[in-house]
Amino acid sequence: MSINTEYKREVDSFCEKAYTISGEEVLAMAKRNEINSGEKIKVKGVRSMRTIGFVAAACVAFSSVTAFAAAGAAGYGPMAGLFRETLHDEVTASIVDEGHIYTPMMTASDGIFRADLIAVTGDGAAPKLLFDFYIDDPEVAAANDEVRLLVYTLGEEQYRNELDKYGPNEAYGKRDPEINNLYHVSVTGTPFWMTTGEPFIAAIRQVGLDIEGDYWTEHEVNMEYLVTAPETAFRETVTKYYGGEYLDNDGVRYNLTMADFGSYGTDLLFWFQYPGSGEPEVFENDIQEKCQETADRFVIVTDKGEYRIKEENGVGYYCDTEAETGFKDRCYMTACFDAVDIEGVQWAELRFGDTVIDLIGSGSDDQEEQAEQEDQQEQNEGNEQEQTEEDTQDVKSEQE
Amino acid sequence: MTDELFLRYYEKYRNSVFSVIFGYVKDRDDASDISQEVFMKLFGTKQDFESEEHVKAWLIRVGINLSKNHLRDTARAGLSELDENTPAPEKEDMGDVMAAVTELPEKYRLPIHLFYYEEMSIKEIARSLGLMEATVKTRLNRGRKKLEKALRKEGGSYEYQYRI
Repeated sequence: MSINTEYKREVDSFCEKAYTISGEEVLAMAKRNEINSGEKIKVKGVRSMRTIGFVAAACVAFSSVTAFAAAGAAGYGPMAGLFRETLHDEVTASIVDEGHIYTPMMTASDGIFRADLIAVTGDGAAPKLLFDFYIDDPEVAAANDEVRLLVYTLGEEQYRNELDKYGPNEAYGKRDPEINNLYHVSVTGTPFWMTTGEPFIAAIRQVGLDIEGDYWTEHEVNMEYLVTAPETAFRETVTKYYGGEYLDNDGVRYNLTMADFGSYGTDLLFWFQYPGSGEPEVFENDIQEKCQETADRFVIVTDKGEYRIKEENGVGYYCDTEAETGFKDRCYMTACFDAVDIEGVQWAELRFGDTVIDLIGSGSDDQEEQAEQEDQQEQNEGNEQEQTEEDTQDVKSEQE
Repeated sequence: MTDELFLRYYEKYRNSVFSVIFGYVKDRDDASDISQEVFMKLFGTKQDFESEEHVKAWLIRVGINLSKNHLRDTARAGLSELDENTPAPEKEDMGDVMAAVTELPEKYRLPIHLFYYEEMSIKEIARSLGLMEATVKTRLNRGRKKLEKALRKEGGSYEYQYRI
């Protein structure tokens, strides 16, 4: 007898004896659970995409200004319901449904401000932090329908020693309709630092209060949370690495190096040679224009539809003149699209004029494999260059 | 989701969900509770499923996530240790092959289960477990060898069909 057949037979037999709940019973429980949503669900929470992370994070960082109107009666009920019904965030709600959530329930306070970090969720490219934020002063609370938080998410060392090198993410939260001094705030964090299994710091450093709806007052605070998200905290993104795929525009070669297919968006990462000399600031406008002009012509085409870059913050760039990424004078461009369900399509291409890059077939799940391809490509180009020089020498010799 | 559709999915995938969860938690009561939670989530989800295979993949992924959370919460509460130190499950009602698979270390157990029971491809297993395909291949090969060895001790003799 084959082991497959025997194993299946034994497992089915075991399940029938060990798991005896009927579908009708579970259905009834599910319906009761829907009605009585006071249940506090268990929590979860992963991912690990560090490579080139701070560059890839650009799309997320730029798009992290999220304003959510909050409701919800007492504190929080089931998290998926909170995201779905209260925060109107169906994507995050579906991620929570799958069990990708960690509820640290950490509290920090500063003066009249207090915040509970109640959930860490999202996906590998757009991790989310959900705060229940309180103003413990009835008069101040009464005057504010909305709060604005500036929140850093960084590695502990970077937070303690290099904070000035990084920027915060901004998020708005509105008052809970039933609890006068409670505001719900969902913040998109920085994926490079918010990985699972490694501690990171989430820190609220500024609270903006909306006084009479026409101007903000800013209050510096220090409310820190040292978080280590467990393995399942974040839904995995599908990441593909590329070597040897490129497109040329206006004298610049954009090399596709990575595509991150996340639940909130699809981010493509390219590198190109730093096009100038001297300080990058001098060329900043030029680089920005080149990137924007190039990315505006991108179209991702799949059997399910077409995608163009996001209108707001669809393009980002970074030039590394200090070899922080390991490559001096290399620039990176991110192009951000709406989410492409890469596992649900038959084919997907990036089109730029006549250039077509097969996003599925030419991508590898293995970053090392991609690096080898890239090295091979550089080596081939070097050989071609050497060959051209040799040919030139031969021609010269013949002429002499 | 309609009641009829829910019940159809339940009957079709209940064993898949329960068995993968049992593979993690090794306790039938816990596996039963978690399985119910998975199906309750299915009833409540607004996920737009494209096919029945998609439903099955979703159920298994949620089952795995909830199982890992359960193990973590249990470990955190000091009730038991994770993975290799988890007490051996009750073997009653299990056949020799299932008992041998259940005894395998977790990193081999789950790929073997998904390969032999669910007949998943290496790519599908890699996706479900968040592993590289090469890692899945290695674990399947090593897991199979361990399984063969264990079954040989029990006196079992089976044909091993490999598609790896």
